[in-house]
Amino acid sequence: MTDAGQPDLTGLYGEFLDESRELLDAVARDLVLLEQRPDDRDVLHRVFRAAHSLKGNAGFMGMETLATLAHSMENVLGRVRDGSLASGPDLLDLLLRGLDACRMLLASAAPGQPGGDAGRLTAELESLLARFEALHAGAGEAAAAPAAGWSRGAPDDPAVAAGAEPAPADRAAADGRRGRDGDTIRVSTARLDRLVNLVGELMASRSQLASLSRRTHHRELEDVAAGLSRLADQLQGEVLSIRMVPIRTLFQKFHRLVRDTAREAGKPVVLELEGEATELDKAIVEAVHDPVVHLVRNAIGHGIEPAEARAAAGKPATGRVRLAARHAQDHVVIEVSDDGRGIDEASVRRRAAERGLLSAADAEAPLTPEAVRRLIFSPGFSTADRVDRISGRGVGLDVVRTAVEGLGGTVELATQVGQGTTFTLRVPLTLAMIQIFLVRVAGRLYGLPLTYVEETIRVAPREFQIVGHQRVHLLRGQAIPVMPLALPLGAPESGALPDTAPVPVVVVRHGDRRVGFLVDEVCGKDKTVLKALGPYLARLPQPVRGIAGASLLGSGELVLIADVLGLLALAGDMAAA
Amino acid sequence: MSRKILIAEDSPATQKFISFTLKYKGHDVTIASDGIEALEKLPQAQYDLLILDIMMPRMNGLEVLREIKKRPETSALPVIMLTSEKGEADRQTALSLGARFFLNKPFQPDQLLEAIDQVFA
Repeated sequence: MTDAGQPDLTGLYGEFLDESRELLDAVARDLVLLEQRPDDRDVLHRVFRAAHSLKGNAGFMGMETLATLAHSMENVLGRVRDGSLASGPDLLDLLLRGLDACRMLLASAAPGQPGGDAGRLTAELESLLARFEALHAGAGEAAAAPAAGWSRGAPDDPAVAAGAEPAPADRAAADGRRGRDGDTIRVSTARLDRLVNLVGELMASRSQLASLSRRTHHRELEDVAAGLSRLADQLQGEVLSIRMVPIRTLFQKFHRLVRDTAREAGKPVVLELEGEATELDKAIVEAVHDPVVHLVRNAIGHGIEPAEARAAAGKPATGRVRLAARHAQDHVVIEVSDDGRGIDEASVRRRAAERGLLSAADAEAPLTPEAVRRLIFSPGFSTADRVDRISGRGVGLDVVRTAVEGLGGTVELATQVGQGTTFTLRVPLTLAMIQIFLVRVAGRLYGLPLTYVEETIRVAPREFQIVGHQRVHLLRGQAIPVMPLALPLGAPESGALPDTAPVPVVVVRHGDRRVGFLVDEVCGKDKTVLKALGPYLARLPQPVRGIAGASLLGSGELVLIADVLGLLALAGDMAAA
Repeated sequence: MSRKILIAEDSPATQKFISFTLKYKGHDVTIASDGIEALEKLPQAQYDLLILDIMMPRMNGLEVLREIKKRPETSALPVIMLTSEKGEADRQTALSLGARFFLNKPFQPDQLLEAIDQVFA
């Protein structure tokens, strides 16, 4: 309570902050829309109202500088609305910069309590305010154009460099699902994670109970176990769904990014979105943000040709960048495509040779599409020697690959010269659960993340061929190296292979690399909550190689989850040795 | 004394701010998120007061005020207009339409409660 008879409203401060961020996002979206549809009165009214509401919120939060800035933007928008000021790219640039400034002011607010934003009136703000004031006072759009000596988004300004996205924490807050009348609450993701973990444990107990009831043939117990099973399944589904958000929250940010990047590159580009309602784990949405930003910048910077070149090639002058998402089994596929020039094999070869990634001899012959893919994603390939504002600074596609693989996902590339390029990201639906393929080796259970398992085959060892020192198997005309899974795992090898009896081989694939791992037994699929290895680590007799974590199965059995990429690397080293 | 109050305001945060303050004082609060919703809700109960924001989607507060004054059953309903400090033109229009009470945004809870005291003085 502030004083007698006064309610304590500081708890509402967060509401005003959240709402203000949402307003900024909405204005940013609408300003970009306005550039495409300058005559849309509805959009114009909406932007004007949002600026007005932002001013009001700033006032309630005691953020005077923000209120002043929002007010000056409202004034300018008022003139656009009444037709006395024409809207154009320069004006929109200026308004978007105003939004960035608003965002920074909001970010400066102390979390949880009103504090005001005094003393944050930087030179940038002064300049913005003066410009808005001039526009309000009657100057034409020319006043919005950058003046000499006025830096347009200095690249070293962190807010500009980051594409003026709010910090992840801010984003998290703004993305939270909120209802109009307080019928929703916000819960920290850490608490959700604990819940997911507990449900995972519950699932394990449930399976133990089920197998116990089967073993004891106790009829009533079986019924109870079955009922519990159903409930536990439902509970798990519900808990996991709490973490799911539509990918729209990510995609919507790209209107602004594409607009700014395209304008900077001097190329007209439109953004197309597809599958915005596709839901996936919030943590994954956040984790794919940077890779997708990178790919979109790349598409505009390198993929889309300048308008003249497009015209010469008989293409529409306006380039197209498309973001699409869809569910595919237990994964989400995110595509970033452009209708630009495509990736030319010869120039990849030249570049790779320059960078020392390809020997002079190898650089003579044309590359296979797989080799092109491997080179493009390898570290050092796209490390630009000049700083390139648009496609990033010395950051290559290998960073995108590493980030996506870190999520247990994959990146693929399809390109056609003159037609365009599509990057396909395949990521799990959720980080909380992984789907594993269970195999037994030397009496111990291992789980291979299902993403990487292509198929299982049964082959009689005498059908293997030996190339060099390596066993290979011909699978539909392609030679795949084959080795016991025990080998890279450092597990004891089970005795000599039978000669004629078929043994199970799990074909694991990543990109163009395929390896067949011999296992003792294939034990089916399961879903599980992955745990960091910590507490289990001590129980292992061998140093941990190629293992990403551990998990308890319903049966109570410990399963070690393989780090497939690590295994493939180990397998490669061993084959080479 | 508890009053039945309708709030017409589009910002959820401001809705909460106002309703929290009023409920704290024991008033009975209903919320409308825009002008049309306000006009729909008015006939559904016997309201003692309308707190009316000017800038709202679908139908703004001035249009709502004009409509209220036109309808005999609501023409005497007391209205507090929520205005912005710089919105002199809107205030003049509201005055000419018969509004008597104004509250500039942003306001503190005690300013809101004072305004309500004035209405019922």
